[in-house]
This record gives sequence, structure tokens and C-alpha cells, in this order.
Amino acid sequence: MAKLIIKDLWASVSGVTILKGINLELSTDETVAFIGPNGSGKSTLAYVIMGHPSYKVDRGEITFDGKDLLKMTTDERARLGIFLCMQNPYEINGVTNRDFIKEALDKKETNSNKIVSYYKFATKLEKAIEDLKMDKDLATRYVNESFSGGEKKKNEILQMKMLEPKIAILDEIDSGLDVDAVKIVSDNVNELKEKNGMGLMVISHYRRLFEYIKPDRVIVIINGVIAKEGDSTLLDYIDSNGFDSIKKEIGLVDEVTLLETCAFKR
Amino acid sequence: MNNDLNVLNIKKEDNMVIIKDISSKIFIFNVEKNIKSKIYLLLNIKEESKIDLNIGDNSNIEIILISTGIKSFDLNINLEPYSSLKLYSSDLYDADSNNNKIINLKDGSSFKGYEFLSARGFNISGVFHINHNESNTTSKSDFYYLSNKGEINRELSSIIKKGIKDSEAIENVKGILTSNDSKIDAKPVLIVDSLDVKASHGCAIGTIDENEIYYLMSRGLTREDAQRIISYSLIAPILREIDNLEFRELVEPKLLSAIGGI
Ligand SMILES: Nc1ncnc2c1ncn2[C@@H]1O[C@H](COP(=O)(O)OP(=O)(O)OP(=O)(O)O)[C@@H](O)[C@H]1O
Ligand SMILES: [Mg+2]
Repeated sequence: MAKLIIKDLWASVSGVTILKGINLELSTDETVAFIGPNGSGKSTLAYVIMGHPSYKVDRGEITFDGKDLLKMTTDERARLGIFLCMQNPYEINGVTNRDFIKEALDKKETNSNKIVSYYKFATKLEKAIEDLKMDKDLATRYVNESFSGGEKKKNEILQMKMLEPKIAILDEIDSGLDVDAVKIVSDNVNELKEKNGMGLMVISHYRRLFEYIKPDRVIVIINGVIAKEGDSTLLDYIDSNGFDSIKKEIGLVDEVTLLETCAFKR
Repeated sequence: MNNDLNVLNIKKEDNMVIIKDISSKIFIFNVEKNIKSKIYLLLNIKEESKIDLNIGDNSNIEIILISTGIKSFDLNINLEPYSSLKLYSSDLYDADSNNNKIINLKDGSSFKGYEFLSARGFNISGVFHINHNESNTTSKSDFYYLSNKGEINRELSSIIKKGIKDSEAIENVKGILTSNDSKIDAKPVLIVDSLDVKASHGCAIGTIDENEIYYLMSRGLTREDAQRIISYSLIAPILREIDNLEFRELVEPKLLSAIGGI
């Protein structure tokens, strides 16, 4: 079983340290819920794993299946089987979804010397679009351009279905999706996981998603630090107590609260 | 043999491929009235020339015009009343060029233009003017330019004369610079001397957005693949129009090499 292993990871963006010593393991058969308040560093971690150029790793290591990801370019990481469903996918004018996905698939398969026939590809794409109940014309439209919020999220999942990664990081795939779409997307994620086995790191603010995609473990990140880990009952705990109780538990006080207290004392 | 004047009349309603060496001073294409036709033109310009293209009344024409060569040309396109023209054009020279394209619109005619130019280590200049000479005319033009260690200086303008009614002009420029020493100067200009018209323009020139490259790389494409697929988007609109196999075989390699080749 391959494993994504993150050790003592420190990372910064524009000179500001965001991740402060993250340790995390994810094997290709488990699902982890990765939750935390806004701005705690969830997307940052996702981007760092996927080698985004704006984020700088200051310390620590990330390996997958024993290979040093930090020494690899983003595309090499992708071809190794790591996939990031982005919280805010970029738009690419002029490049059609279909051409782009075909190219990505060809690149992946040349690693294993398989050749993707156009017919096979088109059939697979058509089925994936159907599975996700997406509009057929999304294949020939430009990547994410003028897609609605929900369509963009579905388009991320579409690419995941086509590329069949070993590890997928789903960064708020449920935001912007209507109730039915959350169910459709979750079904597709679960189906792919069942078919191939796939490690999932699922980032979300909503309990509902975890009813559909059931996590084996729950990890809470606060202020760039892993604050708590547990089984899925931790979701219930946070649902009723919020993140504040965990902050208190680990001796973390909001800067805002601190300011208020000072003001009050004076 | 008179080498200075050459006339070609297009009368049929059909798809046709015309491949020509242009070495005459004046070349005239006359497209008949009331026909619908798709014309593939591959011109190899050997002498400085003046090319006139006249689209007859009420005809509905699509032209894919690819030029190569060593000398510059002036292309004058006249759209007679109620005719319409879709023009997909690209000048694929390997050295400096200064080609001018002028479109003249008469009453009720409409023009849709797409021009792709690529400067790879050389300079491209010239003008692309659209003259709305009469009322009820529309034009929509997209200019997609690529510069790699080269320079493009192109004067793009739509001119709507005084007293003209119910007309519309839209111009859009997209320019990609693939090196620090590349330059594209091609701002669309709308010269409008009438109130009864709609006009708009857009212009986006710059290096490829790193976020776009990152997105493609996160799906397994190398940086070079990502750049190529984004550049490919500049020639795709032309290739999509070419459903004639013979023409495609002639032109596709030239277009691909203009974006850096495969
Ligand atoms: N490019 C950037 N420049 C400056 N600050 C940044 C940049 N990207 C992220 N940050 C900051 O890093 C912190 C962590 O952001 P991140 O996007 O990782 O949060 P998150 O946990 O994903 O939050 P959310 O739940 O709102 O998506 C935030 O304070 C954010 O403002
Ligand atoms: Mg986020």
C-alpha cells in the first residue's frame, strides 16, 4: 500500500508562514476528513503537496510511495497519481476541456506505455460526463471559462474520473454545489474509490459531505498546526462545540479575543 | 502574357481549394452574387502585390486564407450590399512582413474576421482596417497574436463614418508573449463618428498566466505541453474551420510550426 507521508512541514506564502510543522500520513485506501476554520491552511497544504509555485516549503518533507515529492515538478507529482480538486479552479481561455483532458491522459499513459485510442477516450469521457450529469457541451467548451461555480467543481471531478489518481485531495468540492449535485459528486468519488482504491483527503466545512463520503479519520488543522485527530465522532463534537473548544484545549486563543480581553480590562 | 493583372471569377456554389503563386502585380478575385460558398485559399506571395477580393451582392462566403511568401501584399476586400463574409486568415511568413488588409462594408453587409499572426524572431507590421462605409453593417474581428523573440506592430481599426446607422463593430485582441524580448503592439481602435452604432473592443496581451500553466501541470502536462496547448488555442479556431483534407494537410504543419511546432 503506497503512502503519502508529510513530516514536519513548514510552508509560507509571500513571506508569511502558514503551515507550522504538519505531520500527516495518508495511504491509498483510506479517507481522511481534513477540517479547520477559514484561513487555517487547508488549501495551502493542498497546494504545497501539488507544488504550487506561490508557496514555499521552508522545512520538512513530503514523500509518496517513498519518492521525494519536493524534488519533483508539479506534473511529475500528477503523473505519480496525485490529484488536486481545487477550491478555485483556474480558467483557461481557448483550450477545450476535451483536448486538455486527452493530452493529460496521453501524458499519464506514456508513463506506462499504454496508448489511449481516441475512440476509447471519447467513450470514457462521454460516460464520465453522463455520470456527473453534466451538460454534453462542457467537453467542447474552454476549460472552466464561464462555468458556473457548481460546473467548475464537477469539472474537477470529471478530470479526476478520467485520470484515476491514487491519491486525491478534494478541496471544498461541495461548495457551490446544490443538494442533488453534492450527492452525484459524492457517488462518483465513492465509485472510483471502490473501483481502484484511492486515498482521499477531503476538505469541507459541511457535515453533509461526510455523510456521503465517510471518513476513516478526522484531522483538525488550526492556525497551520494539526490540533486534533480522531475518528468520525470528532465531526459530531465539532458540530456541537465549534473549533473554539479545540482551540482552548490546545491553549490557542484568538488574536481577536485577546484584543477584546485587553480592551475590557482597561 | 500579361503578368501584371490576373483575374479569377468564382461563380459556383461550392467548396473549393485554390492554391496560387502570386507573382502578378494585381490579382482580382470576383465572387458572384447570390452564392454561398466556402473557399480555401493558399497564396504564395512572390512579388509585392495588390489583391482585390470582391464579394457580390447577397452572397454568403467563408474564406480561409493562408498566405506564405517573401513579399508583402495589400488585400482589399469589398463587401457588396447584403453580402456576408467570414474570413479566417493567417500570414505565415518566415521573415519580416508588412501586409495590409482593408475591409470595406456596404449597406447591410456583415464581416466576421479572425486573424492569427506569429512573430518568431522577426517583425510583423501592417494594418487591418474595417471601414463601415454604409448603414446596417456589422463587423466582429478577433486578432490572435503570438510573439516569440519577435515584434508585432499592427494597426487595427474599425471606422464608422458619419451618418451611418444601425451598425456594430467589435474588436478583440489576444496576444501571447513567450519570451522577455517579445513585443506586441496591437491596440484595437474604434473610430466612430456616429451615435447610432454599437462598438466595443477588448485587448489582452501578456505572457501566459502562471496559474494557467500550473493548472495544466497539476493534471500531468509538462510546462512545455502546457505552453503549447495554450498557444494551440490561437490556431484552433482556424483549424476547426478546415474540413477539406487536402487543404488541411497543406496548412496544418505550417500553423503548427508557427506556434513552435511539434
Ligand atoms: N497567495 C497568498 N498571499 C498571501 N496570503 C495568502 C496567500 N494564499 C493564502 N494566504 C493566506 O494563508 C492563510 C491560509 O489560507 P488557506 O487558503 O490555506 O486557508 P483555508 O484553510 O483553505 O481556508 P478556507 O476554509 O477559507 O478555504 C490565510 O490567512 C490566507 O490569507
Ligand atoms: Mg481553502
